[in-house]
Amino acid sequence: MGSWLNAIRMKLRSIFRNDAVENELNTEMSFHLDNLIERNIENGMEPSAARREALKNFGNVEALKEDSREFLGVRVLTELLRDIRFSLRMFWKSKGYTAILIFTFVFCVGPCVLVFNIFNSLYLNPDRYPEEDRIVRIYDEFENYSASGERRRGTNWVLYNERKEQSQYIESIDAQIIDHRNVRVDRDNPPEFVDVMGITPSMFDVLKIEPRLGRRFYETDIGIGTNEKVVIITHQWWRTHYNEDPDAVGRTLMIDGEPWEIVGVMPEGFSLPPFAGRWDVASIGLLTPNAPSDRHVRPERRYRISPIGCLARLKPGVTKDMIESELASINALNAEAYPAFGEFQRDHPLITRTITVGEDQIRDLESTFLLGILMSGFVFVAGSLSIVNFVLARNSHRIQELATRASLGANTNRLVRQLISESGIVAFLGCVFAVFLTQFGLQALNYLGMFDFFPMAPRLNADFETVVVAIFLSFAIAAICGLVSIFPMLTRGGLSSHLKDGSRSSTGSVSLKKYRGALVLIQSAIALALLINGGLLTRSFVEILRIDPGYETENLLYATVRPPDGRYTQEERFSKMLALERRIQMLPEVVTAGLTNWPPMKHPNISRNRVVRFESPVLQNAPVISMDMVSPGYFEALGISAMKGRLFQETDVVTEAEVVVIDAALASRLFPDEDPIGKRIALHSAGGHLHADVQPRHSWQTIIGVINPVRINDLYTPSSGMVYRHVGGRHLYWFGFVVKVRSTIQDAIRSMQDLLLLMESNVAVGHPLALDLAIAKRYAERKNILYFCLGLASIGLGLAILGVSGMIAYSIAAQKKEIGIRLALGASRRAILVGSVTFWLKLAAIGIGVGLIASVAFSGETRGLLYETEPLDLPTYVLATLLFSAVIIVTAYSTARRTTMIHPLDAIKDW
Amino acid sequence: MGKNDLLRGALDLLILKVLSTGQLHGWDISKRIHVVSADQILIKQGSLYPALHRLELKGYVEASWGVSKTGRSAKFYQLSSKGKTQLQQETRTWLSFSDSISLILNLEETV
Repeated sequence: MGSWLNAIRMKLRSIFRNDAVENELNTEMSFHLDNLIERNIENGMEPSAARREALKNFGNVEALKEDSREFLGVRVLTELLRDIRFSLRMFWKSKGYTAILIFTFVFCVGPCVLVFNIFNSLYLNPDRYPEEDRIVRIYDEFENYSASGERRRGTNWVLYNERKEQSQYIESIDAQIIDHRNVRVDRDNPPEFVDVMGITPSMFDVLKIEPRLGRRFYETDIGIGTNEKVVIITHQWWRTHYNEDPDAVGRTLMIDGEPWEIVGVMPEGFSLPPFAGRWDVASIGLLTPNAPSDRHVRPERRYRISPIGCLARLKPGVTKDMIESELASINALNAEAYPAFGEFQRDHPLITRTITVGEDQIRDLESTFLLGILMSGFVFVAGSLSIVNFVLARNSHRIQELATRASLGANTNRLVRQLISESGIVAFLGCVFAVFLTQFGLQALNYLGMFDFFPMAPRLNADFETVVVAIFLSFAIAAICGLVSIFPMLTRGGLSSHLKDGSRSSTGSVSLKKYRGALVLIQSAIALALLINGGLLTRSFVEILRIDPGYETENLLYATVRPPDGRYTQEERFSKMLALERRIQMLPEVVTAGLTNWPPMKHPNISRNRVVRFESPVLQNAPVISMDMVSPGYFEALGISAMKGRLFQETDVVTEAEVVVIDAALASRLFPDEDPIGKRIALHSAGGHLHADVQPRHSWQTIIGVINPVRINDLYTPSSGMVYRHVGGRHLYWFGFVVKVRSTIQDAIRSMQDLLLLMESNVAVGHPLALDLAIAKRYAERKNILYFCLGLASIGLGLAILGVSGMIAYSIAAQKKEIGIRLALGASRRAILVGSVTFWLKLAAIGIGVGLIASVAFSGETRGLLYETEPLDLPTYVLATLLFSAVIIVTAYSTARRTTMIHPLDAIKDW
Repeated sequence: MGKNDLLRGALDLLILKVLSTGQLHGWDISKRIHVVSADQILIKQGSLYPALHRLELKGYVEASWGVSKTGRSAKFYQLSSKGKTQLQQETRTWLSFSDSISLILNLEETV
């Protein structure tokens, strides 16, 4: 170890203090020579003769200095520069080879680096909040709460309070809930429908983020019992509404007609962590202080999981296991303290889980990431093999040149260094271009909207970690290439044996041929696996495009209106919205309009009602379904007609017996062999009826009609059952309008806003949404994944084709002399061509077999991304195999044909 | 072992042995080798320096700049602890090698 350090110290000194080392060398040898001359003079020689004799005894000074420089390391830098210059000259001489090599390098390393960048900035090292690894989202689920596998994540205020008081591992805990409000900046501006996030003041401690201007919230700001209401605005809102005016702090906003004082502005780029994909965190404009009211902490609330987000900052050193185990203990203690809750948990144990912000970010995209990592890994391997193939092929042409140079006295170390420096240059250029490709790729993917479906966008630049990965991958390939290059020099007999080889055989050694054959085999396998994956995704996307949502989406508009809570009674709110519906229907731009509680494409798709038949009111195993409240105009606007019976009428709301419309999916489950019209059913809030604190709700409803099932939000999942109730007289938090328009969507929105302003000066039309655009956006998620994977598959296939064709071309070129002789002896060109191609096609065929096995082995990983397409879809496998085989046959044939089109004399002439 | 290797090995051994007497510069080392070998080992004096630098690189000798008896600046070499071990080892190897050669030569005479 010591000698290594000493050697490194000497070499470094020579590199960085080259002049000093050179001076010392001169001084040392001059001292010796001068002493020698002096002694010769003392022995009676003339000074000139003494000097001559001294030089003769000393030896060739320059040669000796050169030898010393070798050990002192003085030559390291100069030789390195010389090697680099030489390598650049060699690359310049064969520009085509260099261009293909660097191109391959970039498309081999680039995709890996790109996928790493996205994964790193979203998950590994996100850099969004200080010490983000200590922030977890806590969410609760009651097991067996719903038979439909619904994903109702959240918590409730009772559980939140228990954790806040009892946890020893939590440093601070925060709860957030999203709301939508009608906001006016001042009386001159129309109201806007704004997404507002209610937060507990502790959010600032959990995220360790402070407002850019003004102050944070304190416990004294909480709305209950305070007269002055305060709000913090986001940087985006500050920019768009106050033009970044610092005096905005202190001004007053009108929220639902009430004054709220702006006390702070959040920093630029601030965004709340995503919450299971339920919140569009980027759209939030205002933050309001939030705390549970008495109503929220009633005992029965313990049983209900609400869409309340809960974030906690853990104390340093607390792991995920520790906090989950502590939360489980707290749950167990509280189950003992509240026997009814304990009883409830026998059938429905409360499961509390934690998830980091990074995990939450990619939770729904695990399959996408896994596939991206897998495919880019395949591309990397395929590309690396191509590069190694190129280097092998080139070196086999150069090996005799190197052997000749070695036999003429060139230092073997020097040749090794030169080959390594060539690899280093390629790695450097490849790395630089790969980083550029990553940067360009990130911008392009962002432009194409690839990141739109991430709750928080990844960093869109090639940062330090990305560059390190690019360097690592590039130089890893370069190291392999370097080893492959110098391998012949390290084998027994060294370079001289290759001179002998050259005279004996021109086809290269058998072991080398086997090695190249293995490379072709692996490349073929990888390329086919990539192609099959691309094919499966394409097939899946074709199936997606065939989805019929079950309603007409063209010229369909959805918008939300939320009348202020406190101003009107429930009846007044409803009658106002009904009046608005009628007036919208009368607008010249509108064909028809309807009311609903949830719009298509915004529907939470949460099945939280159990439905039972009047004849057999058994709740156990009763279907769990979704329930919507709609007006008669809703079905008309969506172009939905009754399969059986009839749809709602205005008069239905005033009849005593409540009537419902169901979809065919529910009809087939509840009444498989009967006519459902006229049958009675009851809905029960799932879970709510099961504990003693809440009275069961029974109201029998008569089915008046059946409609075809519709896909109201998740386009990919068919309805498992749906009940539509008449919206009349019900308490709705907000009202959704579905409007069939005959003009443009924008004109209709403007007319609706004008109409609403005439009726309500403080209420805005919120979240207007063209349904066909919303559906296109949903498809875009899958389309983007498809494009990305197809891009990777194409690159992989391209690299494999390059590798295979390069190998065949090289192989045939290496047999040029043999081919020349055979042609001269009368062999047919066709026989030679077939013979040359067959060997490689056999290998490719084995590769195809391996690729098929690999695709089957990895098929499970793609299941999550496929719609109506089996991971082992036979037609896709067959088609991909045929396509790949055709490409390889054409590549092999055209390459071989071109190479064998030589004149026998030309072939033998080079001998 | 080639002739060059043999000579290089012998020169390294001689330098290490000479330096075992104390700190010396290149000119003194050269003189000592000539004196001790009674001018029997004729090597180009300059070849001493690549050998010294090679030994320095391997860590067998340590070098420092000082002033010679004549008042001129000179590079002095001394044996490192690693060099001492190497000297003992190489001496043993050389003597064993030399004994083996002698044995063979003597055998030829008796036959």
